[in-house]
Order: sequence, then structure tokens, then C-alpha cells
Amino acid sequence: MESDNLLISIHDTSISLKELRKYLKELYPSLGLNEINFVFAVNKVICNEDMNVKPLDEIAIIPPISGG
Amino acid sequence: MILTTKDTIDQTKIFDQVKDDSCGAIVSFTGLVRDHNSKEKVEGIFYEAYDEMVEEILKNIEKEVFNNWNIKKFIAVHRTGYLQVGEISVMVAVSSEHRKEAFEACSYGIENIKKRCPIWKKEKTQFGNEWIEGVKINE
Repeated sequence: MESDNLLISIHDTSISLKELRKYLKELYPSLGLNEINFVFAVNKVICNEDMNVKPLDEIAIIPPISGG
Repeated sequence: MILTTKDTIDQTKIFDQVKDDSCGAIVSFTGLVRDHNSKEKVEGIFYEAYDEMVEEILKNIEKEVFNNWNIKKFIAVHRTGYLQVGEISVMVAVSSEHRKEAFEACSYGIENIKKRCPIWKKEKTQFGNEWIEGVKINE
């Protein structure tokens, strides 16, 4: 990926993070999401994947962290 | 004061900021770039952060620290960008009336930064650059 941001269009009015995970893996294999153990943050908060996301939510893919 | 910064972390400045006349103790933790990993020599580390989320989490950690310990001031700063060996990557400093609270709060601060802040590091060695395998972020 050249950019830090990816803008995607989803036709459903509502989608869960679980569905989004599947969608991203299928449509963007170059992200390598099958190989990493990541979680989602929505609007800067780590979220359970049963949660639905709304238009304009900021969704981040958080791979294992290593700060410090 | 809690933040991520691309600037050099100045220990003396942080000490002066956390110092308070009502406090008899300052405890701080300073994280540095080490010159090796388990296999080879390390030349430097590139730190990348989701800055806006890190600052939200640092605010939460700061609230937790003030709720749990009777301390006067709490400072947590994490550097981003490329750091050479010996440079400071993170600093946590706490002042309190007595040492026990400052030790505990400082330890809680750094442990929670490592467990909860979306920050990643890539080591530069003579063999190239490699992302460090981290731990799953803790909610």
C-alpha cells in the first residue's frame, strides 16, 4: 500500500466489523490481513467485531503493537 | 502532559516540569534504543504511531493514574520517527509527596503504554529493516 488511508464504498447501509474483516480480506489481498492478528478500532476505540459501523466512522486496523 | 512527538525528548525539561515543591519524590522511566536485538546489531529504530489514538489512550492512562494514586503530576511522552541507538523513545515521570505512590504510578504508566498504545517499531540492522513482532493490543 502506498497510502496510510483507504477509502472504501460499501453499498449496505450497515455492516459489522466481522463482515468488514471478511470483505477486506477478499477484496484487498495485498493488505496481507490473513497473515496478521489484528483488531479494529472505530473512532480511536478498540471494538468488538459484532459492532456495526456507520458512514464516516474512522476505522483503523491495529496489528500487534510494539511501542516503548 | 501527555503526547507523542517527533522531537528529541529532553529529560531535564521533563524533570523540571514534573517537579513540584509539595513533592518529596519524582520517579521516572526512560526507554532507550538498544544497540542489539536477540540476534544482531541494531543501528536504529523507526517508530510509527496512530498519534490521535495514542493521545486518547494516554489521557485515559493519566486519568487512571490520578484515580488510583495520590500523585501530583504525571508526564508521558513517546517519540516517533527514526531514532538512533541511545536516543530516548519513551519517558514517563511522576511526582508525589512520598516515593511509594510515584513508583507504582510510574510502573503502571509505562506498562500500560506498552500494552495499550498503537505504536509500532521497525528495526534497522545491517541486514535491512524489519518490523518487530509485537503483542495484541490490550483493550
